[in-house]
Amino acid sequence: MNANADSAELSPEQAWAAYEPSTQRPWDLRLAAHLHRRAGFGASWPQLQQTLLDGPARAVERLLNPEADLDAFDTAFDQDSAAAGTSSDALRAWWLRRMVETPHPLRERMTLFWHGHFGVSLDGVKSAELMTRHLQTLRAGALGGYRPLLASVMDDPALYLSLFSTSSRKSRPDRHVARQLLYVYGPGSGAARESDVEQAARALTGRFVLRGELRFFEREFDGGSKTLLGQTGDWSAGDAVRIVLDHPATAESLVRKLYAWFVSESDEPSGRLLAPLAEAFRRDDDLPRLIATMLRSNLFFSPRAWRRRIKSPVEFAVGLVRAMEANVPTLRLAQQLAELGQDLGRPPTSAGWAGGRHWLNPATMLGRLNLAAALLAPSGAYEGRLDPQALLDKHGWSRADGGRRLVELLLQEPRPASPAGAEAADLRQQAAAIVQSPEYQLA
Amino acid sequence: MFHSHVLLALRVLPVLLCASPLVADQPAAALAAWLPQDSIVVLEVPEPRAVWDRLFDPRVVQALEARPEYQSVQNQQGFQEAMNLVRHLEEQHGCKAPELLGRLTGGGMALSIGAEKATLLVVEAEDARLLNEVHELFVTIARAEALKDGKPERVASAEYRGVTGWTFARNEAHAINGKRLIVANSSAVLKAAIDRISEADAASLTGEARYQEARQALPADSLMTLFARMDILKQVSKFRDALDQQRNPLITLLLGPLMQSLEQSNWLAVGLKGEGAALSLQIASDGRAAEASSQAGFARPEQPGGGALANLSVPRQLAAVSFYRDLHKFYGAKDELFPERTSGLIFFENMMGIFFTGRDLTEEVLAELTPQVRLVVAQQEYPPEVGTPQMQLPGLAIVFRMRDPQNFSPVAEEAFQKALGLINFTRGQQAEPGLIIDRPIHQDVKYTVSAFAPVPPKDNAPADARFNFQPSLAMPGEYLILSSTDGLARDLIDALKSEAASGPKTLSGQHSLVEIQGPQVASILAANRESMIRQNMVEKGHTREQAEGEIDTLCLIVGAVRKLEIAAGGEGSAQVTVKLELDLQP
Repeated sequence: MNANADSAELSPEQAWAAYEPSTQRPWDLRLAAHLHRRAGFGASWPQLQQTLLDGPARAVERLLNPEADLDAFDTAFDQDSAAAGTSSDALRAWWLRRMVETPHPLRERMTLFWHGHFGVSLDGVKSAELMTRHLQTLRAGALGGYRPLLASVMDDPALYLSLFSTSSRKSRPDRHVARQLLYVYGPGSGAARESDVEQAARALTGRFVLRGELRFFEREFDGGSKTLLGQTGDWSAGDAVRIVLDHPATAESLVRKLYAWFVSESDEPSGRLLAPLAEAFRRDDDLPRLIATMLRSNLFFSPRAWRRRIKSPVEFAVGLVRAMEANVPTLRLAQQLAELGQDLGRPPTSAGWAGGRHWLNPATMLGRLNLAAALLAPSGAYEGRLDPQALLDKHGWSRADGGRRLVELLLQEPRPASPAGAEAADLRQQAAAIVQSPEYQLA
Repeated sequence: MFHSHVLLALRVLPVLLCASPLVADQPAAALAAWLPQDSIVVLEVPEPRAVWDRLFDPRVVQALEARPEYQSVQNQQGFQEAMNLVRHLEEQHGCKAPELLGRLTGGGMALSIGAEKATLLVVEAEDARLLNEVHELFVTIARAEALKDGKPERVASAEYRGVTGWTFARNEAHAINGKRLIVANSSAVLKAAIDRISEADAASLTGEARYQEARQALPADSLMTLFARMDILKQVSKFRDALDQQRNPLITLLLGPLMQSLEQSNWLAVGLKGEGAALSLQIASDGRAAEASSQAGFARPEQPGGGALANLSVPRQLAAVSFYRDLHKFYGAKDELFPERTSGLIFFENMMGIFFTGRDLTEEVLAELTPQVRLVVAQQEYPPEVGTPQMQLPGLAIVFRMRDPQNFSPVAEEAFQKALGLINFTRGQQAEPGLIIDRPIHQDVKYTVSAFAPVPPKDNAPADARFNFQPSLAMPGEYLILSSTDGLARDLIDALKSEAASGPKTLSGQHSLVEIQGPQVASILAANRESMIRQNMVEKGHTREQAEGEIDTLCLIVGAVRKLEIAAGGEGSAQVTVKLELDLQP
């Protein structure tokens, strides 16, 4: 691969071929940090160093299958978050804390992806306990296949509550879930029509949410013949989901979303570019392989992907906290992230967050500056827990070198170095200035 | 380093002293005579040895040393240096730290804070020689530190009216006069103190009428006393803001009488007494609560000898509160007391309008209740078929006394059942389970209880938080019990029956009595420990270990309190007594 060539010139085969470090395009700190920003929420200094040592292939493998004791981590966090499941504030706070502490950031990032994809909101669900269970479903299937995950979500009462679709009778089929299935989870409005929605709604009849449980009543099920996406039969809900998943546009639609999530949201990839991935994914439903292909690719490590995503508020804050190897009061942080436009548990629409440039406007940009200052302040709402001086001490970095080290850790782009002998308070200001920079807003 | 020594000096007590007893033969004056007449806040410890004895009680020391925070502080360099110095003094003088402190401070201590933060501390030693020796040691340390910092001029001394004054740092000046150490935050304040004691007719705190009144209001055997000039403190914005809380109806109802007293007071006096394992805090002021005849006089009994009733006692009781509050008078004056109608007040009135349809809330509801109102908080027990919720909330009940039970009982019953209906309707709209009403009989009292139907437990999960509530209404005799739990309602029926045998006891002149049982509070904290730790983790960003440390410290502190009692009242000037019984068993 020619490192300096714009990857727009790459054929799909070249684009998705595994990136091999070369003298023209070496494996360096910038690319290691790029990988962690996209596959997780950013990385700490030791993680960046490990990734540099590993090289791209091993690093992606480690992100997909971390060596940590995940069961122990999940048990502890599942207990804590389930116990806190009576309040939506606690739910958000525990999820943020999980993002900060997780030894499997890719899984947590994919959980966030699916949360936006399925668009289930507490506004409709109303129960933090059901929402916690929904998130656990997403987490359990985050790196499995789309088929089992969609099937699980279609059996999750939270979905129906979120869409205010608590009863679907033979005489009055509810179309909300059917429309969501076809237009958002399935092939999209380009392939599905309103007549398909009507037929899918018939297949989904007999479903009721009663006392927080999804129940099926045979007597309310419409067992008649339906024609859905060109296929005719006495389709049930399971059949409808299978037909939607079998449609070629479904795989392409999902691959396109994942492209924007991992590679770039600033350009619209051609169907030709995505075709090899979409075809393989439709065949094998192997999500880890799809993600690994994207993360290892020439395209991913090319200029066409570099800084081509705007960090969501969650990525912005969690990335900083993880990099600083600390923790902060997440109850407060969740509230501030909601004010910046990302209220965990409450996507703005059933299609999730629009993302991209929608994250930034004058108000949210000012909010990000204020949040950066608050997170790095020596006292206040975050109690000075993000302490650059403590990080310097931990890694044995000299204070004189502090500014440069912070740039390497947080930005990996040239920035003016800090004055020699800077005091801790200045280090905090320097770190805040980095986090407030335009470059830091980009993933 | 120097600062660590100064801190240490203050900690160990002796302090920054000086050794020139030029007026040692002068007759000893009361410590208050050293303090300025216009002192705003004065803290006095007439018998420091009694305080040191309590602080150095082996049980207190053991409890403190067991804390992880103490062990963390113990490893800090400053702490170790301080302890080295203490050990040196102990060896040099052949006695332990508490005895050293006793000899250095046993004559009494007084601290004054005046205008523009002028601060003056006077300490009287029992042993003048020891005082001078310790001072010499500190002079030596201070000089060495100043020299090391290249600022030898930092330690200086000068004569003033025959007294040698010293300074070790900016904003610090001190002198020794006989057995007394005088420390000030400026040389001007120190000089003024020396002037006061040198001139027979100089004005001092002892001549201040408010101070004299305040002293007389406190027990003579107080371990510590605090005097505050309220006429000045009330000008401070934070105090002003606190007093302005009276605009909140609920705060006014609960604390109005005390705030009214503070509003009118010129002075406030606090005395701390030790009585065995109990510490008793007496708070007095010259302010008076509003007269019974006034609109704001809802907490003043109209008849002599009137007052709140003695508290009720039930099993597993955390707290009991008894008030004398004339709700009819309070609510009747609401437009004058709260000209601004808050959203909370509007909501309350709307709800009452629904529950007591067709009745005037002031004249036909609140007028039916006597001013004696009691609250009880108790830990609850959960039936096995229900299970235990993750967060165990205590039961809370309010007990009113009705003037005409026969007429008012049906009105209250109807209102209660309407409220239950409203709750069920609202929950039904949200697809939530509703309350089922029952009318059981306990001790010949037919009462109303509502509860959620038990549901089979899922995967050993704790019961839902709703099972903390079984709203109940019972009306035994002239009393009306509104309780959040069935168990507490039944316990209160028992308690009222037993009280009725001897008749309720009126606490003459008292308008508020709060009693808190430390062990029971500690028990519910322990039951909710895990929930509190989790809350602490996300609220403060603590690790689990840090959160456990903080919550366990809270439990330890609460567990050390056997009982806390706060009584407020006073026929004339306001009096508040706070009694704290401690249990320091490690």
